Amino acid sequence: MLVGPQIKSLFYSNKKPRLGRLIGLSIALFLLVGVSTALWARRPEITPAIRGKKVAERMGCFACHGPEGFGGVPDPVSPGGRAPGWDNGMAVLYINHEKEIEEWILDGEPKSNNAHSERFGEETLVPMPAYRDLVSTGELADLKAYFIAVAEYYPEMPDEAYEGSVIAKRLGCFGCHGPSGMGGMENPRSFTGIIPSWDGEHFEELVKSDHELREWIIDGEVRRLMEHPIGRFFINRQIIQMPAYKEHLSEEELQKVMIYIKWLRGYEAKDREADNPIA
Amino acid sequence: MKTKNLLYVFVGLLVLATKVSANGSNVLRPEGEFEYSSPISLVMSDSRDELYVVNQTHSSLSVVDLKTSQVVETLSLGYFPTDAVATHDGNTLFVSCLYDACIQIVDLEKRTVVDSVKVGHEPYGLTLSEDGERLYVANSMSESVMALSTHSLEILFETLVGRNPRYLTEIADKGVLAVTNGLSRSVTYLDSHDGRVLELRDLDRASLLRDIVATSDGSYAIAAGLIAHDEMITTQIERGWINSNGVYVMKVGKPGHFVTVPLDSLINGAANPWGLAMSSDNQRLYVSLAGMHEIAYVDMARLLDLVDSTEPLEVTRLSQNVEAFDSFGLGKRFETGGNGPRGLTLDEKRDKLYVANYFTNDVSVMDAVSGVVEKLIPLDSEEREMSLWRRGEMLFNDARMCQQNYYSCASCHQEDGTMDGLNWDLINDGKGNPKNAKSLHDAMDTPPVMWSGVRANMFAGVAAGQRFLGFIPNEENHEALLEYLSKAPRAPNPFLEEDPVAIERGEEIFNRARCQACHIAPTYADGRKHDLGLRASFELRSRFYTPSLREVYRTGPYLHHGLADTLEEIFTEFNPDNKHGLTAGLTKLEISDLVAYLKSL
Repeated sequence: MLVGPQIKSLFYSNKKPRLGRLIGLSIALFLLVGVSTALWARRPEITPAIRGKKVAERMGCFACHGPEGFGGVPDPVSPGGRAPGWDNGMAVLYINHEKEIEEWILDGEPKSNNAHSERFGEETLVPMPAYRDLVSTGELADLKAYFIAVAEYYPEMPDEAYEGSVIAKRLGCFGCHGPSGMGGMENPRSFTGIIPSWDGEHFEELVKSDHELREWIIDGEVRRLMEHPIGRFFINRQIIQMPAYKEHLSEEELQKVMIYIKWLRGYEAKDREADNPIA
Repeated sequence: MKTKNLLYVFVGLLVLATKVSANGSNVLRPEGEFEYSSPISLVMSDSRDELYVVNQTHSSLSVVDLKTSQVVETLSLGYFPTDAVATHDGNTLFVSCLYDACIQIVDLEKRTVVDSVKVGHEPYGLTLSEDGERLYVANSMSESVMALSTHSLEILFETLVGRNPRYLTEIADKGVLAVTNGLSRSVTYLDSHDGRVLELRDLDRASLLRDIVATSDGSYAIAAGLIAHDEMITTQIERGWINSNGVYVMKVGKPGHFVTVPLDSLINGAANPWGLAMSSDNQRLYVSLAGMHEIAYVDMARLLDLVDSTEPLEVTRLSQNVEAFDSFGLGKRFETGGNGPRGLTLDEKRDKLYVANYFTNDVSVMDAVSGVVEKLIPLDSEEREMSLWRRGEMLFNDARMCQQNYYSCASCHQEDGTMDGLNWDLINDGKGNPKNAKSLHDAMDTPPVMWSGVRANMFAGVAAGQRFLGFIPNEENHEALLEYLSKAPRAPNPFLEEDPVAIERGEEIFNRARCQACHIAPTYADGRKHDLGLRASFELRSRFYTPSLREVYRTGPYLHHGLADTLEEIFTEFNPDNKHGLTAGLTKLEISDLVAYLKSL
């Protein structure tokens, strides 16, 4: 390990620096930078929704709402015979505005909608708990992000993007890319070990243009990476390979899926505020 | 104690006020619109030389002296009288009162209503048996036919028929009753003695079937109606490729037989056939064309020749041949001199045809051979300037403002602004995805309009309808139509009081199943689109705007694709994943309660 005086001596010593020492130093620096870069590049992707899933698990949400929030569990008192899962379009039956997601989590019911109990009546075997004292602001935001991904609660999504989401679901995209493409699925031997999300930052490295997005979907690979020796090495060795969908969707459907993915990537909180409450 | 009583009264009044306010828009028509006579049905008495005119919106009966052609008396009747039939001795008149659910009995000698009998919901057409012993009633909202004894007024049978039965006729010597189903594209044949259904005769492209008559030998029955080409994309208005108009001629004794004969001319449609009258020698048939303000006179000999010579494989081709009326020389068309002809009756003694003009509130006296209008008998007690609303109602039914006159707004939305029960591919949201026609009654309050919400509001919807569906754009017409649609005529809901306990239970289920998450009172819509998982493979989108549930009892079939015939089916057949409310696991009784509540909205 070089310490201050030694470094100083490299530059200010009257002695001629030894060539071997310089080479060693350069190699060490090179390795240090290389390893750091590689580690940074291979860091697992963490999105708010992925964090939110862990929060939900910790908070016991899945005990009632079903594994990973899907399907709900039987509840003899609940209408429909099950505590509501978050998937399958159930959200619109319980949430009139995005703000109510937070209220359900914090208070156990949407407080801002005073007429809620009056309108629906509340009867469940296990009442929805209030998590106000249990979740931090950050955890709340993450939990909400996960809920939105599972519930596909995007009321203002344009028609073409929505149809893209329906096609993506039909093709099984969410099986690997997670609900609403939120990512988080493990993929051993892949470059990051995780299947990339559609709205995260890894996507930017993998998809540089619309053309590349198209290539990924129809061919299951992108020429830029396959022509790169390191890229090709990692892509070829990953356990779950991206399938080629060219035989399974039309050009029109492809366009809709692309519109959907791009819409998800542009989906910001400010857009959601524009959503107009009805009741 | 007194304070407590006062409190109860106060709370009671409050509840009543809330109900009235919630149903504030549920009016039959705006105030002042009841003054128009709106004649709809005519009955002639040979023995008395009188004509009886059933005035629908004025809820009255005008007695016209045929010698002087003057109204000599006007009797008040029940709410919205619609059809009438006189006994063979000419002493008694039976009148169906649509919104009072009753038949009123008028003594024609004394000119007074002497009795009344409750029947099903919204009784429409009436006919008497040949022996005069029985009165048959088509209950349009109960979807049934009733037989009553003309003496005791006892109900002898009630039989369920198709959707929205309108008119009926007894086939002479056959003991058969034929009923037109206004929203079922069919005619039901019943045994007139015991009410057994003998046949449900499918009439292919029939739509909005109205009057029906039979030849005196009982060989043929003829029904008037539209020929709806809902199988086509609505790109071609001309040549009747959206709607054309005609008569359905059926050989009574040959199950399944019918021949569709259009009454249109190539560039002049015969929009909205309604009433029928046939001469006793079966030689002449008269058809009122409610959208064209004309009468089609049909030479029966030629019509039946054409029908008999049409091979089964040629039936479809003939139904599409809008030149048939002219090229086969089937008859002529005459203007009535009024607007909106509906009921008509033939005076064979004088060779006159009387026609009830709904919107001009008069009766045309026409020469039955030449078609010359000899006189118009006014029915209103005083001449009034037509209100904007009434003008809108009239235009809604008027095909003269449509290119080539093949249809009016009412050709798809009925005369009351509801719907025809058919799926239309309106191409404004892409081609190849037909959707069920919606009632326009709530369109004003529940923007955007249409299943896909392609028009921002009704203003844009009416404008687009005028522009793209062949109606001649006109600012004044637009204003009148919007005025009419903004206060659309609502029938009193016959299911509101039917079973209060079931309705109350149903409301609870409605809330628990979270129906109200999207069907939010008072419009019972939310202005948003939802995916209920009902998209068919050929459709272009998965999400549709929430329709209003008001008057849902009369807007079937249901869902955007119209595949749910009944409200029950929505929950038993089309909601397996609970996407359309948490109805999985509901018992039959619970679904029945839920439906009772829905029907009360």
